[in-house]
Amino acid sequence: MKRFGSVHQKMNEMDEKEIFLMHLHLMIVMIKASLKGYPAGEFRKAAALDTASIVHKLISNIDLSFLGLKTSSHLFRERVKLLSVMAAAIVSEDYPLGIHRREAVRDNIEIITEYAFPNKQIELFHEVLRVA
Amino acid sequence: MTYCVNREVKSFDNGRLAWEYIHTGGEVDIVISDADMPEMNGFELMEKFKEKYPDKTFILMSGVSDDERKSQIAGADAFLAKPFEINDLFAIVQCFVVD
Repeated sequence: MKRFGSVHQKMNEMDEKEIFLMHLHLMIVMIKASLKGYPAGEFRKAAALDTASIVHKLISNIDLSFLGLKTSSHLFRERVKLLSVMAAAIVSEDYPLGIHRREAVRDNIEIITEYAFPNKQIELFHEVLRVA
Repeated sequence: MTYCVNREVKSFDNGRLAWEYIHTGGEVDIVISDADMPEMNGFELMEKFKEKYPDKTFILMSGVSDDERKSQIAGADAFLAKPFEINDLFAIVQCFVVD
């Protein structure tokens, strides 16, 4: 039997914070994948739009004290909301994405990642995104 | 979460509804099920699923450490320990879909 997930000693039911971070992580992955030109099929595109909408909803009410933000949590919330709107626009391919807008998306991802995933590298599973 | 694989993903609120779908001929390649579900838990669902489709993949997830050993004994193909991260879901797709 293969095993995935947390180590035995840290097993627990997932709380709101972990669920939010998982969706946020996924949203960053899907934006990065879109910017790198990975194809998004019908199912993946619909799932990405769902994720953007879930993140937008979750960030509105979640208590962000667990992040230990040094700046205003309002600013972080607005950044995440903006990223979710950007994600929906990028994935749906309804709007042109010029060089400046791309740069703005990358900057926003960088700042959000710094606060939400300070010790984590957001990696892309290339084979999964290309093949599966 | 369904972004991790570019396939149709069906989700059900409990094990009984999932089993009804599978039992009535719904197409399925991989099942990822919580161990703790109302009406029919993940272990019961896996037993029925494996009886019908012994070669298809069933992954149990749980935040209860005792469920890991129970999953192994019951014949799960993989165990997903909560809390998990998005990379774990990608790793599952890599393992059971890509490879």
